[in-house]
Amino acid sequence: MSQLPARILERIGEAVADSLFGRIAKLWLRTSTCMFKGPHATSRQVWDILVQQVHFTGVEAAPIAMGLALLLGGVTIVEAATVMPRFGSGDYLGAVMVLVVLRELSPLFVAFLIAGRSGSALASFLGTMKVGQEIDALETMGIDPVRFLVFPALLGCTIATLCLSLLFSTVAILGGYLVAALLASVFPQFLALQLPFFVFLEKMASALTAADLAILVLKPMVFGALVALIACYHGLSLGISPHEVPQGTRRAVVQCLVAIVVIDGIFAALFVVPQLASMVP
Amino acid sequence: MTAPQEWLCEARGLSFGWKAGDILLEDINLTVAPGAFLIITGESGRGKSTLLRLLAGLERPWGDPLEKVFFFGEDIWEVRPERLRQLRRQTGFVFQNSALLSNMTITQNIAVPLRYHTTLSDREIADRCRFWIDRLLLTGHEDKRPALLSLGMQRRAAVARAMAMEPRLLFMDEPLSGLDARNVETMLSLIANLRALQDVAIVMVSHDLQPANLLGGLVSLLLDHHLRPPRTLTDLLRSEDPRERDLIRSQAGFKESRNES
Repeated sequence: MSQLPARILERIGEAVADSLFGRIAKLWLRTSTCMFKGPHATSRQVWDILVQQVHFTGVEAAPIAMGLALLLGGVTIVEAATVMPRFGSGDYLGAVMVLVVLRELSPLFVAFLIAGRSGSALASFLGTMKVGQEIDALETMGIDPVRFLVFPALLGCTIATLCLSLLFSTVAILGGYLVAALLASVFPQFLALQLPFFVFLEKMASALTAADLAILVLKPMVFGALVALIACYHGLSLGISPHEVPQGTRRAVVQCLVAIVVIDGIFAALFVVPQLASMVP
Repeated sequence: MTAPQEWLCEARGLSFGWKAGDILLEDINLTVAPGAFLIITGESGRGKSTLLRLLAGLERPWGDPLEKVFFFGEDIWEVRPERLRQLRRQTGFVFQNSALLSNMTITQNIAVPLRYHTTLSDREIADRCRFWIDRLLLTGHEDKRPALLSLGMQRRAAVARAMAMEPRLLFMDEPLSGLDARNVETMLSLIANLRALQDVAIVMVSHDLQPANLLGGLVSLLLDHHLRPPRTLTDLLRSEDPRERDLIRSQAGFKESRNES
């Protein structure tokens, strides 16, 4: 009888390990440790793939990310500038930009972009390699596919998503201000839009907290790593039939999107809820 | 558990099936000595390629503790994964579909194991790639991606990649299938050169007996899920088991007159 709780715990542990979450967590653990194993800590081949991954995920996605950021920043600031004066809070434009763009929209938009672009590409690339026995070929050459493919993809995606998110935030803020200035010149009645640039920046800076900065850096890194892991997991877990590649890719993208929203909720719970609680008298 | 060091590869009591209760291979025993040339043949769909994958450690046997595969005397399912990868540096595998990395050129493909495993300089790696490109008659195609090459060239590029680390043991899965007569001839002469110059042991799965006809070596038949002991073609043709004689005569590339003479 005394062994019953231990058995139940063992069963729960096995179920978690066998679940999708458990398998992706295992892949993460294997990927995190593999850089310290193998013939050289920084194999040239792995480094090459890392650079390619950063280029594909970050550099090649930069133009579309900047375009989106410009539009998003403009829309956000116009919406805020037109809605907020109705509530008598036109001075909070900087805070709105920090809260809406830096904390939420920028990491989320970049994560969705990475999931759709790099997540699908990674899953289908690895899936095609698996189906074409290229992964087996790596094994027969004594090459660890996790170290050779997943590790550079994970690291590259994390770095690229962070850089892309910072670029996105910068362009969104600048774009927002430019759109505001343009609208202010056309519609002088929108007083909230008539802000000198440095005042706008000052308002933003005063609204920025350490938690915001932490979110600005941590969220994109977590999202980037998550997209890479889920995409690699689905690519590598395919069988031998080519028809599985699009199915695996679809599963990877959908799960990336769901995971991003869930993790965003967890971030909100960790960072925003305590702030709200502190405001309660 | 260890096996005698003189065997490059040894399999003991391997059984395998893709589903529970389905028997594809049963109680397979095999040894490969240095410099050996062994051809495994049998009817299509009887598990020849699966056996090669088992020998190379790409598939696991059913899990009976007595089922073992040894590389150079070490049990590949008992050693740590890092040790298995070290052992695999001394082996090569040529897949039937070549399995070249499709996003890389032929030179880059050949360089993959060298760049991953060795501390050779870029110049030395380029020289080594050039050596194998020339030897495998791929000159002029080194900067092409695999999809732009013919099947025969892809197969030769896969041999070049497998040989780049100068392995002691080479597994080849149907290296002649799908090739025209001229490419078969080229591939056979290249295999003969590899054996002569590199002293590499070869375990080849083939339904084509031309390699045995032209290059000698021993032939093992896969019959009724079991692997028969390796023998020369001449011995197999004189076998008391009529099914063995029939199977040999039914294989492509078999030239009876040459072997019976």
